[in-house]
Amino acid sequence: MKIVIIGAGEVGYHIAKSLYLENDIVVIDEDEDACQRADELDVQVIKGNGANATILEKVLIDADLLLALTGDDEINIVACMATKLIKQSSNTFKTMARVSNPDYIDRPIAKRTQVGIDVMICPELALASEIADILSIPSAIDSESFDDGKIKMMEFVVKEDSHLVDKHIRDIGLFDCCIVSALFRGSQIIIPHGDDIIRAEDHVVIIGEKSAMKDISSFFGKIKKNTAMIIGGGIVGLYLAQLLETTDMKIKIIEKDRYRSEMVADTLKKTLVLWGDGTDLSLLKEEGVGEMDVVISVTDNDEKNLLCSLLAKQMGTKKVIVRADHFDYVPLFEMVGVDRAVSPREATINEVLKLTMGTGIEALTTIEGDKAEIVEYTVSKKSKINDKLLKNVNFPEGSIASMVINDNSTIVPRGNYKVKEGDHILVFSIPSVLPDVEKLFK
Amino acid sequence: MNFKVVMGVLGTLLWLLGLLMLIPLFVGMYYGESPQTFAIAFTITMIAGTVFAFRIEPAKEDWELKESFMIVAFGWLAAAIFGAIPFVLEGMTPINAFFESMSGFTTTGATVMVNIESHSRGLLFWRSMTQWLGGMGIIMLFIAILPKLGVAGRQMFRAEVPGPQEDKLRPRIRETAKILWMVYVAISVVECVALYLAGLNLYDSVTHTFTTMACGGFSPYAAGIAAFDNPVVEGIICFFIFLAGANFALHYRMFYVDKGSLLKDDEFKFYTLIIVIATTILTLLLFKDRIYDLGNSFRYSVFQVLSILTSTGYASADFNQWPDSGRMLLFIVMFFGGCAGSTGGGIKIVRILLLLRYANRELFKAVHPKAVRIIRFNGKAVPDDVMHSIVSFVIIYFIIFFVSSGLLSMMGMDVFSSLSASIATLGNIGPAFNLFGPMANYDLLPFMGKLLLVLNMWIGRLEVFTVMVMLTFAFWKK
Repeated sequence: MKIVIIGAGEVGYHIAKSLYLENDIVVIDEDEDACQRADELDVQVIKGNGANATILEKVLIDADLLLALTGDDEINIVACMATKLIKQSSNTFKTMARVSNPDYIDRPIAKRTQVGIDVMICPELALASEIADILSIPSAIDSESFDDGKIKMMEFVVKEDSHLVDKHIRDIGLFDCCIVSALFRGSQIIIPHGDDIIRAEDHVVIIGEKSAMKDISSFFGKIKKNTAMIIGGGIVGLYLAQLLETTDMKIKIIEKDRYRSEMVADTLKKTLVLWGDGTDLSLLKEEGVGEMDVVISVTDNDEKNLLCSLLAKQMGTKKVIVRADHFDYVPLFEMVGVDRAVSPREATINEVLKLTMGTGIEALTTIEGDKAEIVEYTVSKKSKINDKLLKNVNFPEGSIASMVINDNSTIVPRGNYKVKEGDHILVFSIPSVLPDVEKLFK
Repeated sequence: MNFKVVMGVLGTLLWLLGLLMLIPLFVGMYYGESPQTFAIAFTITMIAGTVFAFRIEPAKEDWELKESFMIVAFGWLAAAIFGAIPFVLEGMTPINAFFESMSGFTTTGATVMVNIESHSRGLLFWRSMTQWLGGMGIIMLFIAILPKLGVAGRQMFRAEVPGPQEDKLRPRIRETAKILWMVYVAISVVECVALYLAGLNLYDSVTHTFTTMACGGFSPYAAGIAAFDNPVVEGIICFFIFLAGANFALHYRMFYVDKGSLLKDDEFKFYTLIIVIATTILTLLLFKDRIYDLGNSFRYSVFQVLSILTSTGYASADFNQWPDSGRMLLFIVMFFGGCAGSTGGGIKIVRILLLLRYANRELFKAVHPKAVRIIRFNGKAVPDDVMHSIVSFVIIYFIIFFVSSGLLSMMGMDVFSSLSASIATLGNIGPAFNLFGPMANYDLLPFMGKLLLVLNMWIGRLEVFTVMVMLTFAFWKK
């Protein structure tokens, strides 16, 4: 596959990094430093404006996908529309644009095929829906959804008093359409099989169909999360509140700009909107921040988010979630006591890579830093795995098939699933055994 | 201030009024009465119009907001003055004639006629017709008929119909005015046919249609609707009062845009709720005191609540004889009025509704001082400056109410008569209580008292601001 990426910033660079091993990548960016960094990968780098039709015409020959990922909405949109016109003759050519302005996009992922953009992604909204996902399953600490939310991947913590402690995985009685894909124990990662044993304080990653995942949370004990306070009523805060309004959660949202807070109050029906600053101690006390089950700090200032959330934690909030625009801050924030730091860039990268799933683009997603990877493989006629039942396939220790995408659906396969030609199989694996996994598909 | 422009438009307005006087002239002739009264009134009005309009062609550039306010305020005053001419010609004193005419155009329905039936049919027809013209608004009629007033038309529209929410049915104000008048005419025709079929003669059908649709309340009979003592007629009138008290723009929408538009409207829902609650309470009160049996308690309650709430002021029974609890209820209801965009008077349901929401928000903010709460109307946010103008409207409204009540009591009226007469004229309702009950009239008032109530009616019909703004210094300053 030939993929053109416009914008080599944080998002563009990481996506290029995930894709370059298996695909031909062309990166276009105006910024000298960004170009230099991208050049360290095995990709072609062009310095220039990504919406420039002359440049595009040259690189677009036999390209299959255009990803417009600059921080500028209009450049991304124009680039997509221009390439669609240039590549009019090709039906398979797809475009994808990163767009933030709520005037252009109202969901994390939207289709605008009629104007030449096959998929639009909004980092802020993607982040908001990721947080909402985490909050909607009270005991989960992480959540990702695939294929329009039909499949969910979640991370749970096993508490000491849980009945799961010291049980074999095959005995915990999971539903048919769920699978335990990974166990994190301290810094160790285990890709489990039936006879692995669950310990207290393990983080369990489960992949399953949406309906089943709702019930799964009861396995890990209920933390009631009925009240939430959102600090910052920007794009992320507003959309998050909108998503949470559909649940029975009681929400308060603090916004410091007068007019913005009025606009937020106008949009939201059930949420209590407060005009004030998230660091105003008396306001936080007045509104009972200490009794909140969760405080989510999503202003566009990382340091302020950290301050607000630590204040809340100090006053007694059970759980704090913080937005960190700075990618590098994520681990730092979690180090100083934030329960979870999330970054819009990460959310975008995840979304873009998820969208490439099942399209034959062999992409790679990393979990928990670089400790585990999700890799997509396509089954061909010659694959060893072709026409076999999954339980008979000898997956190397440290890897597991966790999802199958075929023509019309996404499923979580069990042992008696028969692999067919053309299936895209997502394998959850530790990096060291990847070459062995790859052999199964050759 | 460009007086030339104001005079010019007023002149044209008088021509329109003069031409309309030909209608009662022909009605009178049909019943074999002398056309003399209206022929003279017609001539005077047309000549006056010509004198006023003598120097025009209004230069459009000179037209400002001030001129629009003046035209609307003085347009109504002029209509009342010239509309009074036929009454004077039939022997009424000038102040009585002026009172009666103003009460007509402003759809108040307060009368000073001592012996109504003694007047000619032509005059009583004109008396009802002034209400019908004033109901939808003479300026609105003027805008609908005259070609291209442009921006001036829009300003005049706002000055005459100053409800808190502008209802634009069409991009151009002239088209909007036309539609509203057409809906008004159409519903009037339906009511007229219904009343005729219910057994009223043509004359009674037409005159009562005029005064129902306008939420006016004049009747050619001293006893009002009670003269017929016919439940079917009362039912029909109830139904059309209910329609007239609702927003006419919504009636149009219901037929041409969205069938559910009435039921989706916050104001209409609240209007219906008030009627249901007030009727239920009044029925129980009347039944408890054994004034009527249960059926009749309901019959008179629903009619009287609708009639007083929408500011019509018809009486199907002498409600002044009811127990104090019932009279108090009707007195309270007098303040509410019809919906915005209706022909009813009063404070208007939408203002009451928004004020309640406003008060609710302020109470909530006492607990959460930093809370941002939006006051919504039909799902949309109501801007703060609209809220401020509603609050100041109600304040001014009550100041006028209390001052005129006080002045009436100084003229020797008892407390409840003064209070009720004051709101009955300011809210364009008509009959009040005690001395000015539905079977009595306002003739016993002294000259100054009549003048005061005329002023009340004028201010009330133009919803306070249009008239009051001319009392401010800033209005006259260059």
